Amino acid sequence: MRKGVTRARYELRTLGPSVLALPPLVVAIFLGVSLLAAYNDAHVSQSAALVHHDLAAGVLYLLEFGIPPVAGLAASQLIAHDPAKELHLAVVRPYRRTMLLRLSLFGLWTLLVAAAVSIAASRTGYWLVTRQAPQDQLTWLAPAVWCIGLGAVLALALRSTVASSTILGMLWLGELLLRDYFLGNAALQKVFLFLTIVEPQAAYWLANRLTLVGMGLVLLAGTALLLRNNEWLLGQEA
Amino acid sequence: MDIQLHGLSKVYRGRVRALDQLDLEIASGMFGLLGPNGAGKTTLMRILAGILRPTSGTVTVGGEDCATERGRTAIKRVLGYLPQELGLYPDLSAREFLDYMGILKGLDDGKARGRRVRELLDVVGIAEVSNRQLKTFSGGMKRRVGIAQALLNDPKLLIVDEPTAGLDPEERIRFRNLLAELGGDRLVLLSTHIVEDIAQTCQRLAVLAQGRVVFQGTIAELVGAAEGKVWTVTTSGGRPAGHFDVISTMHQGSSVLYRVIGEVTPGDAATPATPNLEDGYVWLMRDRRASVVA
Repeated sequence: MRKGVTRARYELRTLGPSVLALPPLVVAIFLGVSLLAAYNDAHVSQSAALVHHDLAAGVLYLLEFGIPPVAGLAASQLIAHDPAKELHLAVVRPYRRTMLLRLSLFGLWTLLVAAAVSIAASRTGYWLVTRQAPQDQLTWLAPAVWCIGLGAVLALALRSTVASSTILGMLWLGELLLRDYFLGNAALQKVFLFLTIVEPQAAYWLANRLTLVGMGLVLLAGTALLLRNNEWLLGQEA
Repeated sequence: MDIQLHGLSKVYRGRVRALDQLDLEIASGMFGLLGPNGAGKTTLMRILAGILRPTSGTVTVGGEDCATERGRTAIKRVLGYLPQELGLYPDLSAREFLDYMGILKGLDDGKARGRRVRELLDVVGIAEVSNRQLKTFSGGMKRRVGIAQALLNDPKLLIVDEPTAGLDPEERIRFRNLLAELGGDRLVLLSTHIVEDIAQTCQRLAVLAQGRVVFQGTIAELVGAAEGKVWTVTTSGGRPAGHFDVISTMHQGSSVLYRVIGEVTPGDAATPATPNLEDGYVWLMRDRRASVVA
């Protein structure tokens, strides 16, 4: 038990403070913007309902729109940029397991931050999601798993954090810009990332969330496969 | 501990042939692996460290087969490895990094691991700065952390790839001495393109060029290959005429002293010189170029 805790502590340290700071930073940014909007509306309209809606919408945007892509970018960074990779490949403990452990720890950290925000919002009446708990947590969990899986597998497949981040960002932005096209297509509806924001009452909401989770898990399995290939991980150097 | 390579080849995706039908036998002690950049040294080190799989041929390290997962795992248990590009985790201290590497190497007893870390911090001379974050360390200090992590599991096989690259002269000498002390009953495989490092530490060596072993033997044998081929010539400035390779050039006021290597004497004014390992290496590579052209 103690050995496991020591190991987990070191794995978190290897991620670096900048990666670990990302989820809380996104929370701070979105909540800050929501507070500003609420402050403005309070002065302009004097409507308490509008202020309440600003804050609740801010929480929803944070969880479904903000945290998932940032988690994907962080996953991409942590999986593609391990300075001691070659040292680790020469030791008894498999590199693949270490990287999946780091990915899991980061995922768990993101989950804790997002769950804390959603539970706090729910308890204080700022939770716009009408789905039953714990199903409502799929609001952020499904796109987060999808983005983490995609970020990780792209970073390994392309051996470039810049390329993987660019593709992830373009897909995220593409879905946002082409949302009507996505929602009008039966197949693409299932992979639309922002369904709770755009169509919260959609009949296919649960199917959409489960499809995203499933795809995310398949992408993570692909990541695990690529992590077995040392030659690919190191590139070609004579 | 011994290493045996028979017909070892490594072809990367894209059909880059890094190693081509290598045959080599290495016994305990310090063994040098010399060769120009791109000769295949790093690929060979990675295969011996169980990181890469050979494409064909047989490789055994201490009787374990590098081609099987089981063999590679067995090799990693007795291996200490210091790669050419040594990356460390900048936010960890030296002590934490070594403790973490100890866990990855399977040293599960926390107290014994802690004792070993303290011992090695003393051996490599960084005990006093062991709680400082690695991002504050100089290149030489990082190399010392690298060698300490390689020794954590008291390895029977120590593989060090270009360990002195980027070190200042004093650090280089210190590091070489440390490696020589570690030799003993271990097999220390030192890969480098710096001839001086091999000359100062190894009894036996192999020279790799374009993925092939072009020499295998003792330092004296490689030096002996250049016997009668090395001269010094003083000129008023111009290079001596003829088919020579200039090994060194030293300006001495109005004249220039050349050290050259070639098949025949560069003239009456030339003085025969006693060859060293660098001369032997240059002669070998020159000889190889000539045979390739022929």
